Amino acid sequence: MLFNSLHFLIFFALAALVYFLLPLKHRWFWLLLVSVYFYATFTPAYLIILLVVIVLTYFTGLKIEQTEDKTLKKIYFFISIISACAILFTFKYYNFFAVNINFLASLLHWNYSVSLLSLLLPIGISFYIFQSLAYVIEVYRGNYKAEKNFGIYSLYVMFFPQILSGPIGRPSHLLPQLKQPQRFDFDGFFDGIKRMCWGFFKKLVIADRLAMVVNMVYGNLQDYTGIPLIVATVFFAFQLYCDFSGYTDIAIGAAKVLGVNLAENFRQPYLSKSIRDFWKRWHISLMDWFRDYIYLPLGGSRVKVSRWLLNIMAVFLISGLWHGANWTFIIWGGLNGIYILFSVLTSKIRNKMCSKIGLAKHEKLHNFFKIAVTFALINISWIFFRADSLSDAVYILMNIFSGWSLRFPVRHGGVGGWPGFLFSIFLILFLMLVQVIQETVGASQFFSNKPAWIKGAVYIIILLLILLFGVFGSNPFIYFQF
Amino acid sequence: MAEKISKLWQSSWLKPCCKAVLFILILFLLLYFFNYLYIKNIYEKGQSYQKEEMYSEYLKTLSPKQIDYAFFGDSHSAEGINPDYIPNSYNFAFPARNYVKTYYDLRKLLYRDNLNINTAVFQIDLESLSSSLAQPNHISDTRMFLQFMSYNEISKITGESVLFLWLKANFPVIGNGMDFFKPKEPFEGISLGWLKVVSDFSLVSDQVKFERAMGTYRFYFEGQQIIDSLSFEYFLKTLKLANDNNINIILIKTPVEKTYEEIIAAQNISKEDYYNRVFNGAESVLPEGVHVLDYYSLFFNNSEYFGDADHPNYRGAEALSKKIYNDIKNLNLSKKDKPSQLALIRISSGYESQAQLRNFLFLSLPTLVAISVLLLILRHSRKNPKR
Repeated sequence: MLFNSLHFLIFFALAALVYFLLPLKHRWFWLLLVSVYFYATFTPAYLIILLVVIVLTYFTGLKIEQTEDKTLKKIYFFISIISACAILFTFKYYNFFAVNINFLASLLHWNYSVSLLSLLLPIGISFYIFQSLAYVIEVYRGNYKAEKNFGIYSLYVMFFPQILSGPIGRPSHLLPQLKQPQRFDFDGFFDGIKRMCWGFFKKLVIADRLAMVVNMVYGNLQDYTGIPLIVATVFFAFQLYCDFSGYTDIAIGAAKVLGVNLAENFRQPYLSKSIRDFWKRWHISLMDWFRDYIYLPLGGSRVKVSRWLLNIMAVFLISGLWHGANWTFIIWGGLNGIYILFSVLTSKIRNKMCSKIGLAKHEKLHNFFKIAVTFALINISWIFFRADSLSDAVYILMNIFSGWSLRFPVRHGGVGGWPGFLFSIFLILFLMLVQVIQETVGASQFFSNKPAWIKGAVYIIILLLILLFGVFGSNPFIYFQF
Repeated sequence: MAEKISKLWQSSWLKPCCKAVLFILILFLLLYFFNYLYIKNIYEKGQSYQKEEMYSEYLKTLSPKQIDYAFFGDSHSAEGINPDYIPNSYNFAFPARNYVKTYYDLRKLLYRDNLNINTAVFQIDLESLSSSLAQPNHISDTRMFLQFMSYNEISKITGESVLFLWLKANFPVIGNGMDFFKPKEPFEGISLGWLKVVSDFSLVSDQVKFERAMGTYRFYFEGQQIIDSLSFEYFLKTLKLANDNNINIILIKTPVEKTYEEIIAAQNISKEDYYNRVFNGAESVLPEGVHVLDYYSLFFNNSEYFGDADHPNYRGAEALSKKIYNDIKNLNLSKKDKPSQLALIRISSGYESQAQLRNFLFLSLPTLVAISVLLLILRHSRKNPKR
């Protein structure tokens, strides 16, 4: 049951209606039931994997808290971590490593091969395992008391708005809200609905429309050089942002309707002035997870410079691997790590250069330059993220600036011709305008002093645009594959 | 009383509810308006609707309701066979028509329109059963097909819910707003179902010919199944339906231009395997055998007969149609009597069930409202009994 389906709208409406009709103390149970149903609509068998992860982390969390012996605490902690990671490895990474071991063996002429598993990747596994691990780690560190109620803990792991693609929640933020449901609140309800509408707009109108051009070019790379590759790559940047942040908005909005506040996951990332700034604005919940549970335990920045740089690379390589079992994702992660290293090592030199050429004096121009360069660097890394293989990524990089042919895939009916293409450009510009408003004034601030009829008109226009120009083809969200 | 109303308005729930209802009402009215504009200016001016309307008008003039030759297939047949050169014939083919649609179209002709067909000619080109024609879900024009298919039938094929189908059929503007801005498809005219194409493939350079032919090949075959299982199933059902109605059956391969054939030959597509499967399937349904007219290589070196790599233009249609009529006459096919019991079969339309439901609601709604008012009055009188 995808978010962008009629089935989900009907399911959510019914789920919310019954939720608010029930007494407060029974609401968590209803949420748990609908979350189980929601997950089961994908592949019911994988509820078993989810249950195993929940049972494992629930009982180890209890044992960690109950045990006084520090060694035993550590043992339970590592059992939990290793088991959860083993499940993730088996379903997501086993075949990747097997293929690479077999390749290495053939290269070295070894008579050895590892058989592959034919397992379907359980949807949302990367997200709910990380969310469970966050719980176990916080309990181990003594930052949060282990949850005694198995049902509430299960709901924390499989809360339906966020189980598929996050945001990755923290126990201290999410569990209390699930235990203490709020009374129906009109303001929260309408805020949630508005957030969901904005998410649907980003996904159905912008992301899925841009995807037509991206898929056309990236699916037939050998036919294109130069400008079409640049346009498709830039379109992909916005497609990915609108797809993922659109999903997040729907998730946050749906949770808000139910009176639950989820963590924000994006903060106008394409207005970042540096790569480090970008990674504080993109997939915030995941980067916070890596920072708190990998980067800081490795020492963070409070170590020697060489170790610090190594910590940064480790985090980004693991982040790349988290996204997918493919060398393209690892290289994507590594490339971002290299960007950060470069920015750290050349920070003083770049500041001196900006002062010398006088750019530092013109703040707006300087900021614009920084945003443009950051966007360009991120787009280069997105090539690896989107390309089907390393050779495709290399082809794009070798040909992205060769030729100025404007031969472009707009003739094909699926792209919507030139009107569809120009509409896509308009949507990107509109999105950037909204981003600038959100960054400078804030969307709610911008609207708060506007008359009611203007607010109503804007919402009606957004909904009409979704109904008229949405791409209703049951296209799954990109981050579901992770 | 005024004070009570004012208090009620200021309460925490009534004002937001009224605002929400007003919002939904305005949204619905605007959607209805755009939907109306879409139906009048886009949908009813499209090829599909125009062709169906022309067929309905033609049917009214037909007495008796009998045609000798009916042609079915996709754009190759729709543009390549001109009934003006084949007496008492009609072209039911349509661009991107797969065999699921062809089956239900034939069923409509036989059981809804009670049309008597002596010979049906079905196209079996390489792409006729391709999954590219099955996109997005075998029955894309829900609004049209609901005229002679039920909601359940379409739902079983497409996997879409009845509610979603209802939305698609009654609000075709949803998801199709870009059609307001797309340039209108140029088609020169429709004559007895034939779509006239005037472009001339011989006027373009060899490089452009190759690019267009390659584009066509990619559309039909790249990443696609050459035989989509549901399309093949319905191809056999179509043959059986025609056979059960004592219709003579001919299978036809339409011509392509040489450039397209060179691309097909260079790819890994086994025509032999494809046609073996098609003919074996046909023989399993038609044990007495089936006639095949193969015009695939007929105009290899006649680019002037094509509008593009694989679609005949009006000149090619004239030449092909004359050839088809000549070859069919030589087959000496006899006219068969139609089985009388099949004429009684009634097919349901999705719009009929929609109308029934609407009538039911209109009739039952006043009754429900009356009962609700009675209950409210009873409840009020129990709370405030007269002293």
